Amino acid sequence: MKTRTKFSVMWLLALGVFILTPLGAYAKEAIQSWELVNPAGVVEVKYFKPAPRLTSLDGKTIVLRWNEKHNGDLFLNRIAELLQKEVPTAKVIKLYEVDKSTIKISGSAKESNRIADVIKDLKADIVIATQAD
Amino acid sequence: MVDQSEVEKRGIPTVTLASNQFLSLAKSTVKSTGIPEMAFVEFEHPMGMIPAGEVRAKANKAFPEIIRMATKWQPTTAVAAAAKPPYPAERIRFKGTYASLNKMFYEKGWSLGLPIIPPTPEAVKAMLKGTKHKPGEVVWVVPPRQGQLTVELVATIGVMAGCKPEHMPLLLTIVKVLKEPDFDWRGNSTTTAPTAPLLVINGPVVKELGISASTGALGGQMPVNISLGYFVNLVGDIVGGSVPPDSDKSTLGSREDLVAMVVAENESRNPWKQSYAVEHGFKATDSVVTGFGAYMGTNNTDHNSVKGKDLLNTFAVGLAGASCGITSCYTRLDQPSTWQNGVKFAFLLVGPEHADTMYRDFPTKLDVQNYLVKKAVLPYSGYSPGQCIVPKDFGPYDENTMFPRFTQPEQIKIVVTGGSGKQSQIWIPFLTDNRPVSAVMEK
Repeated sequence: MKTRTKFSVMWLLALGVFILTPLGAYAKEAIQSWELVNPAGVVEVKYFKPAPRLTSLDGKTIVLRWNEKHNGDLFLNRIAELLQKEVPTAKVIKLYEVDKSTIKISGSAKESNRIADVIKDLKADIVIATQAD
Repeated sequence: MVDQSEVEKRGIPTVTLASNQFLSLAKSTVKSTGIPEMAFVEFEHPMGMIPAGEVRAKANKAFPEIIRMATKWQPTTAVAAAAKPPYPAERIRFKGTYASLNKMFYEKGWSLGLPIIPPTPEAVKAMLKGTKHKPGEVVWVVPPRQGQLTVELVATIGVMAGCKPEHMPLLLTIVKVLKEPDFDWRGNSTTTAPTAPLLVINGPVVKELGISASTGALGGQMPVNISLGYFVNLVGDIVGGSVPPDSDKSTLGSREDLVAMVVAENESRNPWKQSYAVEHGFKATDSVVTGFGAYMGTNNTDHNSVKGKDLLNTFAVGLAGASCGITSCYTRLDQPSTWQNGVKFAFLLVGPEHADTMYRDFPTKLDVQNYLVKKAVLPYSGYSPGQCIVPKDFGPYDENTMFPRFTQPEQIKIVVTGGSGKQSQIWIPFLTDNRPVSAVMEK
């Protein structure tokens, strides 16, 4: 083979190796064995039983509680009308009319406790409350 | 829901009316207060922002179920057994690539979807060297999930967020701020609104840790600010469990719910000299974290005002209209947050050039605050119905009558921060945030 041809062939071979080698040489992400700390934390809940349930609303004091979310009062106003027809012996108290300080999203444990105490002081037998939204 | 739980704990049964879109949040909230289940009546969403006739129809439809739940429903879930101790945290073994580790963390609810740094026991141990607090100390029970955040988990999540051991005292101070009742973390993290924590840092820790207060401080390429902010939201989502769609009800949300906003005051560029922390009773040698839960803010891009008054006039527009739809008129910082006294303070993150312009004509921060209290006004129609209670002695008014948002200068907080440029930001608090909360970092 003439020197020039030999040189061209070798040059081509070298070029080919240079181009093709990286295509087959990608590093693969290594599989590792990890030990890790679970970040979720243990839930702290002191469990309580729900309050004993009623079996009838006759003669009971029913407190209606509104948390200030829009139209909640209108919803409860209608419930009050229906309760008065359905259970005429029940005493229906619209909390949002007798104590306007309870018309709020409580926003803190202190306020939740205060509102619950207001309801207890009304001698409520049951509370019907509106939530969001 | 927490209110009804307290009522039940007093021996009074409840029936709660919740829309179908919020029922899962209501149930998980009840569980987090310690009562496994309560009586719910579901109705079709929404209740708000619909005409009275439709509200009445929904009440009619719900009524038979209300009677049934009030007189027939009985709880079925047995009281749960006592939980494991919070420390030490569980160690888990995993075999896979870094990418598959991140996928596993996300699927377990242990990340926000962005990559985390794997919290190996070695990395957590190194992180714990940054504090003298015992790793088993519970520093916060994070609502709504009520996960117990121990010092060990502060270190763990700090590792995940890219924090360093020397950040530990600051991380613990941040937790102190977030857990304060006035911050109302539960409300902030479960609301439909796009809220996110905003934390302002003052004092020597800014320089010590390299917390940015200059160009791009609230943006990218700020590794310390970002790792601190990432830590905050990882704690909220992982330990606190406020994840959409069931616990975090954000209608649209915002990217600040991914990396909370952490910025330092640019104290050297403050023309009024007194830093936010010193202004609020702290020493210049104290490192202080101040925070609140913020609705999405707005920016002031005034490039033209040379007079301080003209600049404050454009600020007043942004301030008046910020967080529109939920603001009240005549708000007071010293009164509790209610629907008619909500969103009762604002933070102005004032760029140094804007601060210089203000200072030219308003030599004290109080001058600025007093001016803005007068100028941040909206027409009556700009307040949502029922949000603006006009004083009885006001006299005649109509929908175009202007009413002020604020009444007290201390409602408007001024922090000089950022780099060159005629840009500032206005950030306002979530409805039930009672006041901005500050805590001093332990030395």
